[in-house]
Amino acid sequence: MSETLLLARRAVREVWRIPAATIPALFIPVFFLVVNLGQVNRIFPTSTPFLHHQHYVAFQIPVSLVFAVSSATSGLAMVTDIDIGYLDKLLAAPIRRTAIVWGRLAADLARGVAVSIIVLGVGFAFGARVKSGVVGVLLLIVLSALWGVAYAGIAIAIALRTKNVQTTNASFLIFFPLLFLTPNFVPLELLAGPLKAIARINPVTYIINGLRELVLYPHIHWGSLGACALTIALTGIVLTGISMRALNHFSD
Amino acid sequence: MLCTLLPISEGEARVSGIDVRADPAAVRRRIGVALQEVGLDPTQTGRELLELHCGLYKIPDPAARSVELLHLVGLDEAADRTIKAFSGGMKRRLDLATALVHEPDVLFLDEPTTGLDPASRMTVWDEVRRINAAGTTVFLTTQYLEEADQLCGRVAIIDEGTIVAAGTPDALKAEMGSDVLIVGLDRSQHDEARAALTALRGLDHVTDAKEGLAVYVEDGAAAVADVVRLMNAVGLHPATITLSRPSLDDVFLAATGRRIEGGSPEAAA
Repeated sequence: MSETLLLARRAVREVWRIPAATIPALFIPVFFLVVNLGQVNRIFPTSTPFLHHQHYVAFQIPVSLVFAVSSATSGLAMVTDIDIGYLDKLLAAPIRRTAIVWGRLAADLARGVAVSIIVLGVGFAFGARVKSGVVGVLLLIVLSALWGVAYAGIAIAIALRTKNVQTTNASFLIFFPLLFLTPNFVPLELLAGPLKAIARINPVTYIINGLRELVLYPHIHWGSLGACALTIALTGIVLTGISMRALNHFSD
Repeated sequence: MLCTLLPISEGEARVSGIDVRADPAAVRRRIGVALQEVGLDPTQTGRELLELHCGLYKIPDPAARSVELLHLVGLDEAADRTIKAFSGGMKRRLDLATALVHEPDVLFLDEPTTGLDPASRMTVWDEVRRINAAGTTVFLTTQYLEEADQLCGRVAIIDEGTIVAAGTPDALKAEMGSDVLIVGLDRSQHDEARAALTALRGLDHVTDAKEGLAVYVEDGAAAVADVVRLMNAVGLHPATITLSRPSLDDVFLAATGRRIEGGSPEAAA
């Protein structure tokens, strides 16, 4: 078994054995989803044009998915490894340093799949339906999980640079402006001018739109799906690259 | 730096004949490392962690090697418990086992018995002796000079980043060339006593020690009576006089001018 797979297995086991590290990251987006629905369900009935005869929950599901998978959990696991001295042990082993980061990201993939299934389940319970069918559901899960992997690099890099639990945990806050400066409540064309301009250059907009079209439309819109996949890939390349660079320059 | 965890700031270092700066990956393949802070993932079981490390070191049969190592460090029964439930001694032994998966040429142990109870300390000592007897060079860093005396073939005393004494424990102690009498006096009386002791036959040298004045003399037993006489002659009455053979503590004291008390000076061998 390759060193990446070995470290991935260890990280996935860790996720499984410490559910307390995943549950808070899941609780907040589900809480937001429920609160948002309670507040705006009546304002946006199913007859609202941009809902395409769905409940507002369907419109919100992609936001909750992206919110749930964009966590600092891997960064926190990395800073724990630094604290307990286990990272030193791995660094002294004859392995590629990149395998240490890939192992962590594998855990993000597993966690992302599990969390996405749960969030979708909550959405279904509130009446959401994925119009693009089973393929759409699978794409929602896979793309959400991959976004979680792509985004995880930022917390890992912060963990390696700062070696500080509080700072790494606070990196979660970076995602709030990214999430809320998007068409998360209404479509892009309904946003006010300045917010619309910001949302257009915000990569998270393209993730939410790609996922949202899978929920709202029966046919897959390859253009928005491609933009979503491309954004995930580019974000992943940049942030994973930064985290690997941080590990290569890591020393106590 | 020798373990490749820190970049070399200055000079050159070789481990097992390999230039650490030029080829750190080759060094990593030949060394095992057990640092002062036990580096174990508490969410894994002992067996899982050893199998992981066997895999990372490309050991052909990780499961079999893990069983062997668990037996070696006496953790067979605890093998499938998560590490967070291990005692300090068990963690230390498992940490040692993870450093041994690939039978390294050189094993770096950084204060391997710090925080252990006496029984666990003895177990680790036995294990270090066994590893060394099997052909592995053990590079041990410790603040316990008795530990260095018991385990090490060669000792180097480092003070403020500089080696101030080096050699086998016996040679270092022999260099002291004398027995040690610790004369229990108040510190304010040391100067007066020191002056009086210049007349002592076989005197090597005198230093201040925590417990009193350390008098290094050729034949300690024969000198006790003379020391008492010389002290009394100048009106001093030592509360205690303790005779001992020179230990590495004495070597350390002579080399650094102070006794080790968990501070920065370290012994490495």
